[in-house]
Amino acid sequence: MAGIVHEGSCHCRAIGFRYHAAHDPGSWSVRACQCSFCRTHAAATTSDPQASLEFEAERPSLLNKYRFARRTADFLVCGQCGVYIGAMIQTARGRFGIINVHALSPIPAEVATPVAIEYGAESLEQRIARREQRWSPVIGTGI
Amino acid sequence: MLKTYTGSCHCGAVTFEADLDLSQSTYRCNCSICRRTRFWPAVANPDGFRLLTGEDLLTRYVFNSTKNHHYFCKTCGVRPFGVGNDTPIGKMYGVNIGCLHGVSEQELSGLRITYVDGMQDRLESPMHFSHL
Repeated sequence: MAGIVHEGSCHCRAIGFRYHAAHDPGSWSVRACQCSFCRTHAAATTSDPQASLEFEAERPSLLNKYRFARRTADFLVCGQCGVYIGAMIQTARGRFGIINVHALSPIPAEVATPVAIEYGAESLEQRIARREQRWSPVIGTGI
Repeated sequence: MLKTYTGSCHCGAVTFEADLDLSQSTYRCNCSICRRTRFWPAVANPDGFRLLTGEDLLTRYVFNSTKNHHYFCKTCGVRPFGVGNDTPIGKMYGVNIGCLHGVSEQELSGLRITYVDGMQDRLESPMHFSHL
């Protein structure tokens, strides 16, 4: 249901998030990005520019911010249990993030099956612009 | 038939070789760690798994009964393998299929999958499994 806060975390709960959804989970865009990182983590991510997202680090020393390829975003991985919870980018327009749906607890039953998407042909500028437009604004100071 | 595959985590620090028979079933499980990580293993015997690099970059994560050891890369978080120490076939390695090199998309899409009810600590299929 719109306006609901969906919580998620890694397995050991050292890091997590609160996703302030703007829309019903059944209408979320759930994406299985085909990049090498998302495939090796088997991630399915979602975001909504009308939602907002708070990341939290219960144990900040366990937060691992992994960057690769163009190094534009932090991929948030737990240093204790290894679970990937989501990613965040900082641009001139602010901070924007996505969540890994598999880290939600519980995963809403209505969440759609992920759709495979390939972003490999994007330029750096297109990638940043897409994230600014489609990722969720990150609020709070948790991470 | 057993074939030797190589594989790695995402950042490449951890590399391995594994003797796998991908004509046999692979696994999906609904337990709390497999659910979060979408772990998709093929089974290797202990003598069919060889860690080539990155031993010092692996973190071992255990929980609950602590009999299963879940390894992941300290840098990129990817889990190339896990070790089951007390399974119906004894000690075994679960090798992450998503980390294997040289397996085509066509072959991946055709692999057989057995669903297990790790949430209830059972090897039987759970009632609901299409999301796994």
